[in-house]
Amino acid sequence: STSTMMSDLPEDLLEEILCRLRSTCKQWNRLFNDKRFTRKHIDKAAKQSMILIMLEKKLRICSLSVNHKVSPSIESKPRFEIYEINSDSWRILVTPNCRLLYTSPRNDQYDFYLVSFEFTTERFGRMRLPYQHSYQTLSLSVVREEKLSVLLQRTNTQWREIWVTNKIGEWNKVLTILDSPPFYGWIPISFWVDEEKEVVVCCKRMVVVYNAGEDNKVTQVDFVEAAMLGCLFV
Amino acid sequence: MSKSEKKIVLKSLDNEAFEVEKAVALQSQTIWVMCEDKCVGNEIPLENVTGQILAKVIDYCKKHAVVDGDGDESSEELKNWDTEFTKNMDQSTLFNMILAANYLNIKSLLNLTCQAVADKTKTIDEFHTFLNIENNFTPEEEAQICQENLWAFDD
Repeated sequence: STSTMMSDLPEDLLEEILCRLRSTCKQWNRLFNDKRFTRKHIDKAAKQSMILIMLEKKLRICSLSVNHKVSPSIESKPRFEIYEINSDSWRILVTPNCRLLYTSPRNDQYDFYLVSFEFTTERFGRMRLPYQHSYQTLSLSVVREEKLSVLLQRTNTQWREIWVTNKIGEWNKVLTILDSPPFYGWIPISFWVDEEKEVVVCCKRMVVVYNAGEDNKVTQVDFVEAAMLGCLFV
Repeated sequence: MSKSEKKIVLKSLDNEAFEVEKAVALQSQTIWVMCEDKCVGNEIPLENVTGQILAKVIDYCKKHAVVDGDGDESSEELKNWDTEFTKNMDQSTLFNMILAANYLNIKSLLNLTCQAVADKTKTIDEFHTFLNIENNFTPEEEAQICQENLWAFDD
């Protein structure tokens, strides 16, 4: 058999190795830490937002087009496109497997999973959720721009759980909220959790702040009733 | 779940078949998606991986499945096992392992094998001679950098 060489690796894998060579010498380490060096790469990366929406039991990825001359719009596109600032144009991506974008019915239950999209490699992926089905509530959030977190309530349970991913993308349960006001079924919930295990949950009619003590026991520390259409933690 | 459902057969590029516990194989996100989609039966063809490499990948998954299962085995021991696992692999095998880990989407294995290549590169004298680089880190400083590196990589 022929031997495999470094040049046989696709570019993204080559980068994975190169960025680990930081500790070759002090100069290289400085370079990797240099914001200018980082920015060179970030500037080249496509900047584009998109949202995932669920329509008639199908997941659809929509491009979020932000144009400052007209009001921002959300355009539903059956295919996936990336907007490139440099060329001021939309580029069509080939979706590897369209089935990835659908939930599949099984035993009258719908499986839930996250569809991920890696901007650097422009690849779709699929990520498991803590449980594979039966959710009454499901909401995503980000912890310190590094980790994903999810607030969930399984069907026929009274408690809500907050899970956070670790560095290799596995879910760990960090908190269980035993008693909390009802969230009125399947309505959008925003939440935010920090590493000190302080949680803010926000839904249509209220904002609730929780705090976890050293024993991981969750207590409600504040509660505000408010009517709002939506809430986004940025 | 019957006993047969707990096992699946992974078939390599060169038609070598490996029967493994489902829990072992499902560490690969790619295999997990294939199983979920039910587009395959009990036998999963892996067209990008040779039998020689697949055997090693399965060894890795077996080790890590056991540890994740009981949670008692120390992470230190697992780390040592990982080091031994890649220590004697030649360059070509390591690159093939990287490609396999990427294709099978096993993040921890991808991280391990990329790090192994980087570590080996750094210790090659020719690399430093050719680029005229002197490693001016003290061992303590280098360990510190590796620690700092952790944030950047999905390990």
